[in-house]
Amino acid sequence: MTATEHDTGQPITPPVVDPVDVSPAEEPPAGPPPVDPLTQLEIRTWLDVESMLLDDTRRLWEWHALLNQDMTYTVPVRVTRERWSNLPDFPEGAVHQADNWFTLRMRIQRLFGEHAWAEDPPSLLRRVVSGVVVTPGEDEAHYAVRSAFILHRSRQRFSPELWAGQRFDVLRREDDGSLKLAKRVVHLDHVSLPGASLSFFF
Amino acid sequence: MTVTDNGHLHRLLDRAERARDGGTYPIELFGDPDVYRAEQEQLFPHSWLFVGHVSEIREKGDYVTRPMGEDEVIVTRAEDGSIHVLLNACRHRAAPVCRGDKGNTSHFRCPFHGWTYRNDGTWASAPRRRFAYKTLDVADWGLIRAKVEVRYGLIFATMDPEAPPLVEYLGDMDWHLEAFFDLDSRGMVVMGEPERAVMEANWKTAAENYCGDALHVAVLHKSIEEIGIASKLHSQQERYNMFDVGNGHGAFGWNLETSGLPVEAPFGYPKRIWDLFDQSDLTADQQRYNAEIMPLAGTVFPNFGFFRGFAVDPVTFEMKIFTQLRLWSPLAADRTEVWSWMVQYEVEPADYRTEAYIGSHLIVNSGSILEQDDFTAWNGPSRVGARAFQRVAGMELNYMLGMPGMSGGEETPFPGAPGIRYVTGFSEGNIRSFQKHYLDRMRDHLEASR
Repeated sequence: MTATEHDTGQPITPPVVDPVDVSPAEEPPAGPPPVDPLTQLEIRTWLDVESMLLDDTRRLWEWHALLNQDMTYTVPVRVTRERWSNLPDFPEGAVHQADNWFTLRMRIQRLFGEHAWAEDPPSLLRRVVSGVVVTPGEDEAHYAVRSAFILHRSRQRFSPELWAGQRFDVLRREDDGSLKLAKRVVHLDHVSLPGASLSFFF
Repeated sequence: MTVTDNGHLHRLLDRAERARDGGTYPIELFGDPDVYRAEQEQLFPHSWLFVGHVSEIREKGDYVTRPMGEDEVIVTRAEDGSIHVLLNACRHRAAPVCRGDKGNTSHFRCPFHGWTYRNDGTWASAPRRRFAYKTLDVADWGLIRAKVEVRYGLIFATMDPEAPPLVEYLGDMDWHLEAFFDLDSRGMVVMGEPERAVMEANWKTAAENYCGDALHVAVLHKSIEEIGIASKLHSQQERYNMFDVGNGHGAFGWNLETSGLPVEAPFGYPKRIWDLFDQSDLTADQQRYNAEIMPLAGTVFPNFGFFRGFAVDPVTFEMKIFTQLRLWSPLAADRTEVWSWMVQYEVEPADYRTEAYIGSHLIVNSGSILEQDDFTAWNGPSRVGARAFQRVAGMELNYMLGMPGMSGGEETPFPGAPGIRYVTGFSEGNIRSFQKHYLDRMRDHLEASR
């Protein structure tokens, strides 16, 4: 932002902004992505089944079985930026949650215990996942998958919450042919979270 | 401007004052919209409010936007290095002059008619100024500014130009803050970004929790025993020390030595980290207080909280100590925006700082396994207190814990430390003092506004 443009009469030149500054993955190219249609269908179906397991909090162990043991699950913090600030919407290293296979197991263990009050009674979750774009990953065993979601959460007498965001996933083809989640980064469309208890998973 | 029903408020405050002596408190104070309005109009404007940490605005031109009560302010570092807290509203038509959460700029320009301000808040220019504003006295038209003071890296501001100096406002709490935050003379740094999340609860419920609710730990947070990241929470209950510091401020500590955790130094710091700290800013009394009391959490009246906790490395079992700053920013009687900063000492190795920051998210903040239960439990007072049945029944909440004859916890001075000390976790004495100060201030300001 400059203050003197009125006095000098010089035109304002917007700074050069990198259009991919918010993405942990490469921006997918326009046009049909170079992953064969059958694999795309398989991945979309995988995401639909995953959504079903995530929404039904009794089935979280089945979800956990879909995670690769080296996986990471990260929910970074978004900040509001002015358009030409040239600074990232998700500053490096700032997180709401930074988990791995082990800590997710710990969280699910807790939720299945007797004293996890945030989820007792359980949240009613319903998500719609769409906008799935599949691109090749680092090698033939990996796929970069982004998907958009709207997640409605209803709890007892609490006000219902509406969460929105985009997930940047890496899916890996295991030796037995199955797909496992190897990485998930969740970009929420919220600078201030609509609810204060992240006791569920995106 | 005065609230609509002063009579109702006065009667409620009188009733609360009488009830408080017996250890009870009207639930209406947490849910009544008139109480909330009175707080916004009379209490918050005259209090010193936390707005950020110096490490967030290290460079000239750095800024962050923050709440002060219901208002939004810009906290800036000006070209001469000074810190300013400015109302984010153009003096011409009150459009926000800053639209980002943070950044760096020399000036703020209003998008509406182009009035422009320097980052110290002074008026700088407007379109065709020499033609349009020939006789404008620009000294009168800078952004509205708050009074600012910094203690131990914490930036506080007040809207009230007549407010007493921060040190006077803090009173004895200054000693406790110094002991807690000045463990190393080179100061602290904010990790990542502050988290913001909206919770359905009154801000006072959170402030009470941080100033002196040791009782809930072993009950509400029992799940952390189930998954093995803490143990013996119930038997630790009497190991707490509560400090009623006065002026509505309170703090409490938990000496970890009998906790079964690998405690090598005060607060559970690993010795390799503790030995890095230059504690020359602390007195011998403060060092002894840190070693024996291990302050855990506290509240600076009205809505700033601090907490020091640990995550245990699952492989090495090393304790990763983190320090959390909290702002309970009021949105409505039953809605609060929770702000959380994680700060680490600059002298700590970068990998230790990062591990503590990452580990903290299992313990505190919205994604954590402890606080998601707090945020679920805190909605009772604001929800019930807004409704009919409690009013008809004259329902009051129970704060009798630690009252004479109830549960011990006699006042026992800690030599060198200011404030009243209770040697027990079975005390709500800090909270009763917070409430007394709250009632006194509400009454003062209501009287003054008549």
